[in-house]
Amino acid sequence: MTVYITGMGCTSALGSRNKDTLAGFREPVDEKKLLRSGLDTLTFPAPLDREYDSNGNRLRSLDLLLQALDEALDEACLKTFAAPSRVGVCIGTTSASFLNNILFHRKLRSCMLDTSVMKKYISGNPSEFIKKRLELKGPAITIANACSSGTDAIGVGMSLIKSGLCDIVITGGADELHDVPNAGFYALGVTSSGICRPFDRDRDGLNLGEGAGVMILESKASVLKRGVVSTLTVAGYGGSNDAFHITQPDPEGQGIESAIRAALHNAGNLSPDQVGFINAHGTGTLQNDLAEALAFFRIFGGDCRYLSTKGQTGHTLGAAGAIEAVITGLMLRKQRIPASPGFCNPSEDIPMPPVAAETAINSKYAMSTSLAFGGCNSALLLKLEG
Amino acid sequence: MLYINGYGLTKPDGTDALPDLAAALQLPDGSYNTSPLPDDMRKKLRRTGAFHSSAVTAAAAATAGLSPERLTQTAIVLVSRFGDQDTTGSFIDDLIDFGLEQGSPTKFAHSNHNTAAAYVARLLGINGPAITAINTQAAFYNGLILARCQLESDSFQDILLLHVESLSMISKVLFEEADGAKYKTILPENIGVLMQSAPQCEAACILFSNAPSDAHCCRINFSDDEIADTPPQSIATPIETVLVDAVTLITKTMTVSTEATCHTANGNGANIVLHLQKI
Repeated sequence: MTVYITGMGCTSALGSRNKDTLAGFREPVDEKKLLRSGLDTLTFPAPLDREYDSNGNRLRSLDLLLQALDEALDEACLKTFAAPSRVGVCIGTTSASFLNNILFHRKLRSCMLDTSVMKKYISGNPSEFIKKRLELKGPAITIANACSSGTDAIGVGMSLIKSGLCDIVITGGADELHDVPNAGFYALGVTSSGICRPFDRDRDGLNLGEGAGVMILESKASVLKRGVVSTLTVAGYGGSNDAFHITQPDPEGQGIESAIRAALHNAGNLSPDQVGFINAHGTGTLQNDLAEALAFFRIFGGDCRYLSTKGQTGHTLGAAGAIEAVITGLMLRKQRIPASPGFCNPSEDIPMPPVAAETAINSKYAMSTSLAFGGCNSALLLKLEG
Repeated sequence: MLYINGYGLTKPDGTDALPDLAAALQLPDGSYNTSPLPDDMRKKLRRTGAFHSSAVTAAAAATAGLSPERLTQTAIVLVSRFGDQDTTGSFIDDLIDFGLEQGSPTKFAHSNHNTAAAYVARLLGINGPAITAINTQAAFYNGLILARCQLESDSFQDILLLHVESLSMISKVLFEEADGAKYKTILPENIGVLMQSAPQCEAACILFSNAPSDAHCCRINFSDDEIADTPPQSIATPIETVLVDAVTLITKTMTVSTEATCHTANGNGANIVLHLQKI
């Protein structure tokens, strides 16, 4: 069964809309727009239009999510839903799945229960929030698979359509810059002292970012019924678990290799040489980039074209897979990929470098990959139809 | 053809709850599998909290009858209403006490809800995909949806569905707030001590499969039974638990003599109905 992508929306440090996102790759990172956290790490804030800024009345992740959602719904020409029970929501996140308000915990230790924070957290579950806001009645599933949440949310959305449980699924991911994960990644020693350099010889860690990516997935019957035109489909999805380590990927990249092969199989045993490019997870950490590149080399060979967009978006955690899937879709439509941001010098340990200059492609297929804490790996295959 | 090939359930203290459930159902000894966690697995759980160890204990019991070859290809679905807020709270406690730059990397890593499924994968030798979903409402319903999608995709023969909830003070107040409880917990003066004590958790695990195993329990099929405007029904489980829907399904699996049905609602009038049939 074909799963169509009828709308996409994207908010990240590259811009607040899809068109800004692609245009942003032509410019170098504007360091003035980056924020230095309290831990002296660089972070990538995303622009938020005034109409979406709740001024703290709801989680910032939801503000960012709404901005991307409206763009996706506009592109999909969806204003109302004829059958709300057939519309599902599947959103990935990290920060919105935690009650991680430091002030709340500080008060709690003094025996004060700040119920306003609890209410904001409970009403801020992203999939439930969208379901309520759009008065939907289908499944609302919030994926909390750490950094692969966004990719997995789209994969689950695809399976909801394929299983016949839903006609339309609003899917994607959202995450905000936050002191708690920033402190966590700092504690793990994986934050970069400068701007991250995925797959580069001098890569020394990641920068956190924020944003949201939304895809509207639809069955063929729904697309035909609504009379909308779609040129993109989700062709395949695959996942795996390393069963190796809680924070580090399998050093040989066997887990992500398994996920990629599962996605190719899920797309009807697609041959690797049909994949025009890969939008890699590419965090800029030593371990992630090596594991991923080794897997790419084994599957796609030395001519594999790949890049990581995190040099211009930062690592947006639960939103990353969704933002990167949208960017992959936009690049597939344009049939062009930019130079991998932040990459300057090939690394001896990485078998082939990422794309170092803007490149034209001639392919119907592209892949987006994610790796996460807990050994979660996932891969998504998008197809340009026609 | 679909099957339930195993189940596991833990008590709040982390021990096996199946003997208590069987006793409440007046089932004879030997009518359920027990498999205490081996010492080497316990050792590997030493850095985790109750959320992780309960998940592993329940999953180990549910998969006791599955061959290692099938186990490695199994997919994991873990659902929870609030996940592991206790480890997050403990990580934040350190930030408050010692500063933002002094967080514990171990606590931060383990605070990610999906690391419970990661421990299940690592300790049981599972390489299939692991999906963790956190929803304040309809958590088990979502788990059944996710398990069903995986089963019907024919990508996996076996799906391990886990529902895990913490019973800590912070989780208790979250439950009350989310459910609009009429009477709410009054925080005790010694809340700081309570927050730092080892929280208790409950975990339930059900192994769904496309093929029977040596330990198969019953045959099942899913159906959608949309019942609009049906008021939520309160279900009495044989033992006290917060995992009402999961324990109800395990209870029906343990007691089905010929046929039974089990409804799980999503709160919008939609139900997933599982038809159980004794083989």
